Amino acid sequence: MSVAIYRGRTLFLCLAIFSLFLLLAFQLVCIQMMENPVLDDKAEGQHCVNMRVEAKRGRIFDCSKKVLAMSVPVKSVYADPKLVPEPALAAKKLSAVLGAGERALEERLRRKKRFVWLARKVDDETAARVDMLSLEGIYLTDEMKRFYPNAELLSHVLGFVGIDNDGLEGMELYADAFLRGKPGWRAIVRDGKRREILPFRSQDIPPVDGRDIILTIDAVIQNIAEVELDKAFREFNAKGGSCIVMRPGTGDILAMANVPPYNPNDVGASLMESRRNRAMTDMLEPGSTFKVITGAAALDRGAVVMDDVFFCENGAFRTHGRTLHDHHPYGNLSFLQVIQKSSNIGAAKVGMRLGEEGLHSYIRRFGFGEPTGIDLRGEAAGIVHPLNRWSKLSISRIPMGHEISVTPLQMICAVSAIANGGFLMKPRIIDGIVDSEGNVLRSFTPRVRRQVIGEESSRCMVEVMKAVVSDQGTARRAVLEGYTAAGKTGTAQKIEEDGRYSHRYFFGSFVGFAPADDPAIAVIVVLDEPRPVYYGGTVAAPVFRSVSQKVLSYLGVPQEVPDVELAEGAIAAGSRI
Amino acid sequence: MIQLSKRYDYAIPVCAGLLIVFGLMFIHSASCSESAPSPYIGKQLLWAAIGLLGLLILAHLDYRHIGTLAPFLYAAALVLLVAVLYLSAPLRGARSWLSLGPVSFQPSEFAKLAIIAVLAKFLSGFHRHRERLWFMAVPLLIVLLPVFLILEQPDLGSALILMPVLFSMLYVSGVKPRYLAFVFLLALLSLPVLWMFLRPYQQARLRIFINPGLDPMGLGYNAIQSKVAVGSGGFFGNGWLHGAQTHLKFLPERHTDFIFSVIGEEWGFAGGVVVIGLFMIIIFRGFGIAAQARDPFGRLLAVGVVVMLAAYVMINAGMTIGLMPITGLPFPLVSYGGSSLITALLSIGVLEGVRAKRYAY
Repeated sequence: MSVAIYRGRTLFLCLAIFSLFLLLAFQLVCIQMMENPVLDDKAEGQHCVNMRVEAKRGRIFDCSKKVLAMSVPVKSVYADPKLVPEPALAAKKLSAVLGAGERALEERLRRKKRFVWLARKVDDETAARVDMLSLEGIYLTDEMKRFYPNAELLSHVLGFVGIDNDGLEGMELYADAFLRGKPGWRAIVRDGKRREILPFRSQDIPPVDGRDIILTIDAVIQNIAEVELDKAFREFNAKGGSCIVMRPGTGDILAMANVPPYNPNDVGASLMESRRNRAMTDMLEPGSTFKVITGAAALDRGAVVMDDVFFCENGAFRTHGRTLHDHHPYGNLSFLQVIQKSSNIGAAKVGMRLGEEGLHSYIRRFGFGEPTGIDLRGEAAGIVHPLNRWSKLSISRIPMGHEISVTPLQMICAVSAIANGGFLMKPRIIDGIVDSEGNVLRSFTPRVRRQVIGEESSRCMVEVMKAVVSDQGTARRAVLEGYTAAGKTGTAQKIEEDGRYSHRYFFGSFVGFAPADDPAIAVIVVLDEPRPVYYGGTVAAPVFRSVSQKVLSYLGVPQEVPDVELAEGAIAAGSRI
Repeated sequence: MIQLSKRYDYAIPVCAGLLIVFGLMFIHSASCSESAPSPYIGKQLLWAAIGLLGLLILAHLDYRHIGTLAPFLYAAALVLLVAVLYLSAPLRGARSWLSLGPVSFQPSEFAKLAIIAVLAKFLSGFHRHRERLWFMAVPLLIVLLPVFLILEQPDLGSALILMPVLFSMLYVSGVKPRYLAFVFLLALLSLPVLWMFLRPYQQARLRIFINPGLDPMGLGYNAIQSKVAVGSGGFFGNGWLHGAQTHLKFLPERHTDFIFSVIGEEWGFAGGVVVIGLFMIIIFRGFGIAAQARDPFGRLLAVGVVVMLAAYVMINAGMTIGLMPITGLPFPLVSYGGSSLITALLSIGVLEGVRAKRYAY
């Protein structure tokens, strides 16, 4: 072979390599010039991250600024699976500390992601033990956890939050927009191992912390209500129950207790049905307590006067082919006695005097059949049938609290209207919204919804209800020491599955207020399916008594000394002279 | 003024020197931290000095001695390649490093030079048998024996780089083109067999090369991050020491295998073209030396080392910009690493040695 051929081949080889190098240069043109904008964005996208900085959720206070709900920092465990060298070993070690399943942990550690949660919001001890393991690719981060320092106290009103701190129930849900605040943003640069390198502090948008909510609830009164309600709940083997304490003059809710209780710090451990705020979500036929509404309406319309006497048919009253019975047969009863003795026949006759239209319009004016407008979500409106759906029997049944459904909250609002001279108040549960420095941003003042009855009718009805809470009335067990109380018992049959009134399941209730002539508090107590006794006067009135007695003394309401005792005292004093 | 001897080519060492200086700059950029300079600069300078000494010796030596020594060099290389399989501790799954006291080196780097030498020696002799097909079997065996040992380490890149070297030397040695085509076809047909011999991770790398999006956080990560680094450099780059991909450690193996990505990110298209351009000068002039070599052995020796250097650049730069699969090959003269730097400088020494004798007739 000639030298020329060698040279030719060398030249050819040289050209081949030259063209390959041109290919390199061409690819450089492609990615550094054509694709440069895309790849530049991609690079910046993975270096610079805008990180959300969570705002601190606002606190919830009672009326004297005791903390009912707050957020505390806790640790959460997460992993960057790419950096975990031995997922099986790590899962085994973590499982022992976290108490989670080894397989589930390993599965998470093997995911093709750069971030997986391993355990959210663990306690300090667990966090410290995870830290001690010092496993590669396993990290701890700070999160905020909602904490309810009083555990069960007011839990049905406060509600709770989800794992990401958004309000799911109760006040946490209703006032979520105020409590949650606004998250901020932080621009950070991070490296290939996802570590934060250079924070650009100047570009930070700081989070705005959530607002604090101040409730009208008084934790002491709430506690009294819960303790007393719970006692009765256990004693009478009830399925549930509620107790509301309200200031009749303003509609301020001082306590709103429900049983069974649950702990909002561990929501998962409770049953759904024990988390319900029954005081406003549960509807019940009010039964005899409703007679005070009928009575007040009839008085106000002028259909009856205090001196009217009603013949109670000796216990059996036949209208429209049905017989209405009284518990005890009565002959003639005065208007006051009809309610004092809780005569069904008497109440029916009072209602018939008032007439269908009158009764219906007063029921609506007292706020039944519509939500009270309390600042919480999920309130039931109750059921009041429109006039055109009333049967011939309705006018004799509704006055005694049948064929109608109400919530305990509606009932206490209506009775408060009777107690305060006739004004139906909007129930007030939020007193104000303040920022973290305590500056008031919004205050909620008491609001009159409307005047339902005149002052005179109100005064007369108070007299009638005082008579109920006496030795002659059905609520002997509601009599207070040092205060006069007014109220009404109720024992309502629940509806069986076949639609008939039950003879086994009842609501026992009592609604009243004290001191009767200048009421500081109104209290309603409802027990669902108390057994074996179920009369409102037996199961609910004692709760009213113990709650009222303690709350009045806590509020420092001066004891009334009955006129007789005052006179006796004067005589005793005089004789000594 | 000092009169430069016309025996030597001066453009090649100047280009090589510039590449080493750029290499030092970007090794620093790739491995310095805020508080400390790069720990690799001193060592790299030491390797450069040793390599330069080797270069001078080879340039001064009559290259024909290499031909005489070639069988012994080849045998020594085989011994080292066997030794590395049994005597070394695996580093990241590969037994590529042999320790001699405080120094450790990669026998596969030096083995390439020995293989080139023995191939050149064989192909330049035995003129009578050149026309026979069986003649082709010997160079194939010469290459395949060490390739098999290198694949055992495993070091796919080093094995791969010997293929273009073998074909180029066969071609330039005057083997009939149809024999060459035959061997090429044979190699093509043996690819599926070779595939079976590959480690699973090597198979995965090749699959990922076809589509890096298959596993962007795992095996495709290096390829994607490197392409992003080079691409974000644009025309003039983000500036020396200012490559975010490099300094935030998104790039893997920054100061060794992926040094070209660092250059691409910090000096952009301009830097990439300058570095590749310097290499093209070395390669062009290398081919010039081959064309003017006094004998076939010199020509084959020169072609062998030039093609080897070109293949290094092609495979390494290609892998950083998505033209080649990811293999663990350094960028000659620029990447940090003693074995590779010294081998590259020795190659240049061989070229100068061949050049020095061109007027001897």
